Amino acid sequence: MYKLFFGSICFLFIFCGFQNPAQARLKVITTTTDLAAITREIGKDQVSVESIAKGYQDPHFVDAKPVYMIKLNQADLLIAVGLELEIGWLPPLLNGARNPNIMEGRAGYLEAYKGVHLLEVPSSQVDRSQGDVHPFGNPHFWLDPFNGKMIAKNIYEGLVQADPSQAAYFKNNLDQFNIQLDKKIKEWDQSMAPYRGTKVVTYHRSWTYFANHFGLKVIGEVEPLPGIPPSPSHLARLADNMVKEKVKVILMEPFYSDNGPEFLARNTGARVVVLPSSVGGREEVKTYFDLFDYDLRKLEEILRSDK
Amino acid sequence: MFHFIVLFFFLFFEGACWGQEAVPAPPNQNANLKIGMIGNFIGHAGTNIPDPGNKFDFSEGELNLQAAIDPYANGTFVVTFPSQGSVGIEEAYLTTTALPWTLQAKVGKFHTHFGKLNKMHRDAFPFIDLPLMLSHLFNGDQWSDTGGSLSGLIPNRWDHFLELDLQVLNGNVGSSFNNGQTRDLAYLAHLDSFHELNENSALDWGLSGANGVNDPAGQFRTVLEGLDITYKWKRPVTGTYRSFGWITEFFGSQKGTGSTVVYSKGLYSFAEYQFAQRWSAGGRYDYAEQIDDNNQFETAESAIVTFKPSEFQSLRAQYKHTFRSNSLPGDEVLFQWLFLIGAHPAHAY
Repeated sequence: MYKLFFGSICFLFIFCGFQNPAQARLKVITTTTDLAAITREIGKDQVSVESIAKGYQDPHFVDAKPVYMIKLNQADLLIAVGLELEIGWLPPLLNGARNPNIMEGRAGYLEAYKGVHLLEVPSSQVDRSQGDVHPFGNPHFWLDPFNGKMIAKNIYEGLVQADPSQAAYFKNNLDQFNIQLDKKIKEWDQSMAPYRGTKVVTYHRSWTYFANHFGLKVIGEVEPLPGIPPSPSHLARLADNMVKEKVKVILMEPFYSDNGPEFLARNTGARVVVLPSSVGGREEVKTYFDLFDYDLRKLEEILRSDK
Repeated sequence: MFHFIVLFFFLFFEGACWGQEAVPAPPNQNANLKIGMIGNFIGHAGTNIPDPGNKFDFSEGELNLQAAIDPYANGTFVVTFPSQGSVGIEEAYLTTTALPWTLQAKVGKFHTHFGKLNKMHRDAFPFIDLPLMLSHLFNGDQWSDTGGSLSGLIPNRWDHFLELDLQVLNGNVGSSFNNGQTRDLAYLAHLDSFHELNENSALDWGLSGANGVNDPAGQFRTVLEGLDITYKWKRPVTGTYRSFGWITEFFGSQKGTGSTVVYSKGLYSFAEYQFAQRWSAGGRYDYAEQIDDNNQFETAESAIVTFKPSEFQSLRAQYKHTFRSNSLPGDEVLFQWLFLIGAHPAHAY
């Protein structure tokens, strides 16, 4: 047994010698597709980027598959949303990845929320009786396009730290991204200007930043509390409120059940709009710019027809 | 044994020296201590059932403490408060985080890596009771033992997850291993391989082998083998509402007893379908031979329904029919209300 044991250890070490040769491009793993999309804009051909969560998946609930540990093991940089969005699945992946460079607090670990003006930061103590509240603030900040600039700046700094030799290249890409984003924000703001003040209901508190930027007024959520499925009594109360407030639109992501929203639609005359909240949530949404182009086009179509 | 200890400390020391530069301490170092408590309330009734029968039982309270020790290691303590008996340490171990070559060392007391279920905590079980063969092998409980573990990811051209875990343990778990006062230790190896079949489904399989003495005089040995297979199906877009999982483990035991070796085997197979956000239903089949007398065996069929109001609370009902080769069959109904407060580490896949 001793021979078997030490033989196995030797076998392991010998095998470890056959690691894949390091690639020249920086390997970046992001937790969400939105962060991956912005990283591609800044890093372009000097980085290879992969997201763990899919764009059509609820980013709160991702299976911690061991295959992601291998990707993280080989990563130079990990970019997470932060604010405990990934708390249910990222820690076991990081523990299993055995890559000390990307552990929380290390140079290869980056949280994209730094510097973002956060909304819904609890002013008093929170506990789980209030549902799945994020104690450091609402983590869906990428849905305000203005925050895209801060996310890009954070990613730029992370890339420069990981590969200082490409700093000028990354800076140029960052500048280009910001110019394009400023131009698009003007377009998007213009297209939504007639609908500022429109009252909406959302499934989850994921559209807070989006609504805040484009002047929509969220009067309630399909979920009675964050992460808690809707009950009949909650839906009935919400329907009454929607009629009173003349709400015509219910926003929801593709990964939620439409049973609750459809019930509300039948009882209030509002329309359910399924919008991707992340890049890749629909096949044609391939970039950060596509995300807002798609969502605003869909939303505008509905709002225009209701006028 | 001496060689192992030297190798172990060499690796640990090496990792500490060659690892990344120390990160400056955060201003509030105590804030990263994660404290959580799990309560496991069980109701149990039926005919011809094992103890404790026909009563409610606050099976155990479990206190979990986890934190980074320093830039090179994490620490974990799991303290149990059973309804009967005294407070005990279920797990207490250090895990390294900065060893080179993807190696990870663990020392202390922990659930050994024998198969899939043995490593998991009871709150992560998809059913209430312990499968029969595991119960036979490890004296009615899981194999938790004191010792060391060294695991590593084995690189391969397909970038598959392939992990080898080698463990050296005291080997004091009653029925299978019982080293008494001897210097003989128990040795365990586990190989884990994960395959993502497509975006929706994945297959995980593992092989386990363990060897140790089973009598206090150190004359007789037990050899254990295990094969675990797990299949999971979940579409990312509907994953909150629909999923399917299947787990099966086969076990073999060769227990030396005097002039003979008792060959025994067993398995359990469990499948579960999640049909709503909070609801799932499943079934389990068990077959288990007694490890001291393979002419005696048990089979059991269980039906299980689970309701999860949230991630931190679950209600579960299980009906179980047990056939025993040497006594009357048993029928039992179990009910479990499991709840978590405070921090709770995310479960592995």
